[in-house]
Amino acid sequence: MIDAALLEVRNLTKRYGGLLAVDDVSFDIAPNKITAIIGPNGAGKSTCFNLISGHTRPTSGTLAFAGDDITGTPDYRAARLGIARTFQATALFRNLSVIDNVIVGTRQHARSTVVDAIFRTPQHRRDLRACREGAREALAFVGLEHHAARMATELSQEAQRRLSLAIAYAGRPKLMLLDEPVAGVSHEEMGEHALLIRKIAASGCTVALVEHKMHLVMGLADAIVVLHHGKKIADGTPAHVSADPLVIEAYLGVKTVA
Amino acid sequence: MTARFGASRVVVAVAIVVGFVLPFFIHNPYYQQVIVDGYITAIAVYGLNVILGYAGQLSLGHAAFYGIGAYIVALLTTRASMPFWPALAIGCVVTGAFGYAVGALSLRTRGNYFAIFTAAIGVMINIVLTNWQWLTGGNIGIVNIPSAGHIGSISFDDAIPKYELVYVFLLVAIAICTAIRHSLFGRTLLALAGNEDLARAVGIDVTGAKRLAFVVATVLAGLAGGLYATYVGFLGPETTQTDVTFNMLLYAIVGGLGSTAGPIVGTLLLSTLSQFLQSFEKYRMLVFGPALILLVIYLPGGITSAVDRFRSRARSHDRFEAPISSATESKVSS
Amino acid sequence: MIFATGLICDSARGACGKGRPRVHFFFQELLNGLVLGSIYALVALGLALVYGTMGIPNFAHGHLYMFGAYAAFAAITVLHAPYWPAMILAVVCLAVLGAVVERVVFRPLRKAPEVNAIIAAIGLLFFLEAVARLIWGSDFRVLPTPYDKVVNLFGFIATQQQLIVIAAAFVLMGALFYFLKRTLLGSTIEAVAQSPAGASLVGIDADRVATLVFAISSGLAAAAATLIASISLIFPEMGFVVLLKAFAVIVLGGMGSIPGAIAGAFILAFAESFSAAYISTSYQDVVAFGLLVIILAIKPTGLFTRAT
Repeated sequence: MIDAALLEVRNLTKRYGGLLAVDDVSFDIAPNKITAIIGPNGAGKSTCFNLISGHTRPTSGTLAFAGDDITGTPDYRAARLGIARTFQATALFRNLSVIDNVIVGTRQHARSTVVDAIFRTPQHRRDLRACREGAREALAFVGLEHHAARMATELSQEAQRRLSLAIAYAGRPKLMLLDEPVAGVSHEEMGEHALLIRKIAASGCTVALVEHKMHLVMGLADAIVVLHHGKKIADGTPAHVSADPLVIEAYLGVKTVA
Repeated sequence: MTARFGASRVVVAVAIVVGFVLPFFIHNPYYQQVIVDGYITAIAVYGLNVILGYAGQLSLGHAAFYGIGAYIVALLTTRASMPFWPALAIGCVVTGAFGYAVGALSLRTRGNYFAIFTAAIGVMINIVLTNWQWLTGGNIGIVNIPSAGHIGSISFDDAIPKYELVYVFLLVAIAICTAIRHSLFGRTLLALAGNEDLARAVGIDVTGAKRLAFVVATVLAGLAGGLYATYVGFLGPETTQTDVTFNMLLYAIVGGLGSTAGPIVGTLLLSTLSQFLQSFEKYRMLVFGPALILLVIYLPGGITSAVDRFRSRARSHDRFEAPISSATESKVSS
Repeated sequence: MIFATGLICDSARGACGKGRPRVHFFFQELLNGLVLGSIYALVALGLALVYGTMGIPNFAHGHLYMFGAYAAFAAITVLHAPYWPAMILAVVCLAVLGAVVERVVFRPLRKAPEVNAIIAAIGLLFFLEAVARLIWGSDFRVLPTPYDKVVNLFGFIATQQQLIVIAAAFVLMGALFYFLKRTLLGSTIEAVAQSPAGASLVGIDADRVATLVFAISSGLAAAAATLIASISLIFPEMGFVVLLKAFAVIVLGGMGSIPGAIAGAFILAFAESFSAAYISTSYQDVVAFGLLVIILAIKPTGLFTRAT
């Protein structure tokens, strides 16, 4: 690899009581690429994401983001460093309008305080305008610009998925972690979503995703990391991984029999 | 949209003017007092609206913070002979600082600890105020609390200036809440109330934001308490009882959590209703208790949300001409 | 609201008499602590059970306890029932009331934000207090007991009622443990507490468990209230402080943990009765809340939970 990795995962381990959810996993996420983390149910994929995003603290191991050690950084700080994430079940601010959902996503860059808010200072007005601009751009990016004034809950399932992408994308992250980004999206709309994910990567934001749907992963990912029972059993290009006998046995084997 | 916005501005302006001239038409001192009491409580309820209505965190010690503000103003103006204005400022600052400390302890953990913790703090403060005889006068409390004095030839010992003093502060409280509601900070609070995990994931310091909201809430409670002390002129520990907090909660919810008009509507409606049904005082909860349960189940947005819903239903024909394909079930949110 | 839980100790302290040797005084406070701890444990267990299985901090729990005391009072004074049948009647009445409350108030809010359930509980508490005042008035009442004799135990003095409180509480705790650990129905409750999602996967009816848990919780509260009402006083506002004590107990023990609740109850009770004896009775109630504050400041997950 020519570029230095954007995210370096080293010996990452998470233990819940006696259970090793993630067991000594190391891999790199290369910048401007789409990396998929796959594995059968209970392989530790989501836990892995929770560890990277700072949602949960690892038991041991290190995480380095853009060269800096971020192990143990809480989630909101990680987000400010440029690690955005989406959730498995569509996560939205259901009590807010579509545009406000995305404005909250851009808010991390605003510097105005509660005092600015109360006195409606010029600083706050500038921030609000900038956030609204950023939010509009992000909505346009996912194709929801005409629904800005609606309540988030008024959108269709599929549009809600895109909104959740917009919320994460609006913060201009360096790395986006997408947890099953097409769950609940119909077969017909899947292609469009894949395009959108490509578009995110093409815009200069590295993408890492957890996904069950193999055909989507194989067509979309530049690199694949395979987890099984919390351990990494393979990584590399889709072609390389899909030829790996361990992967076929652990993942594809299980899947096709089931 | 623009026409509606303009119309609602006119309504607001008229309401503000009506508020100003009201004491010139209502001469009965008892009615005046009922209204001013309502305003004072409403200021505290606006505080509750920030922490509960916006940030979704239930504070059950609100009356205690109200009491801290009241006792500080009462003590400073009587024992230390300090003029009202600096006493009020100190009252607000100390209450806010206390709110910061309580928030720092109790808002670190998610969920219900905050409600339990603030309820306990409320009872603890009430016990201390009742038992700390030499400072607070115990159950007798503090009497002869002076008024706000003069500004030029206007004396705050007179009924109308007294009214206007409280009224102006009410407007300030409403203005603060409205400004917060429409700010980035307000959106942040609503967001974290709606989905805490997602709020963290987009870089919001959830604990810090809640703490800040709680400081705003407690400062408003302290302000209301300070005004109460000077308006009524005497003060006892019963002002800090949990029942007082529960009443404020009732007003906030009946009026409509998170809305701009909710606290004043709910407070004036219920506090005047209670005043005029005073012979039923002890039993009014036979009605209000079940009403609170029904509201929370069927109309968590309170009266003002019902009005909004009615108005938007009337409008809905000319908006959103494109049908929404699959509007998902919306979870009831506070 | 009137704070009269201090009365529990004061009346017992009267029996102790002045001028006794310090060591007797110490054992007397130990006894007071045991009595108080038994009551706290029964009340807190119900609260922990509801919290553990449903995640609801039931702010009306103290008022159900208050209702339990009045139910026993009515059974004895109106129906002229003997002491133990009166207690059983109170427990049954409250179990039914608890089940109804779960159905009517909490079930519709299961999917709503947590604060909504708390607010509904506050509405319920308003209602129960007003009903109690309507029926029984605001006067203080004492539950008549046939066990008012004083006994001399190894040189220190206890009333029969105090010993009954302790014995009955331990029997009830034992019965609850047996029910949860050894019976099929009890183990379904445990299963829901461990993992609500998992429990629904294996076909446990969450609605039935919720109703059952509320019934048990309210029944325990009624038993506790009946036991203490002969030593302490009954009045419509008695519930809220007991509720906060019970919350302090379950926060101390780690929210929802049953052994934690029992341990927390006795820690709090001993802290209270000794501080009442050696510091001041007027600040006795502050001890509970002081402990709560300290625990939350140092270890917000409670004393008896393992760090994950």
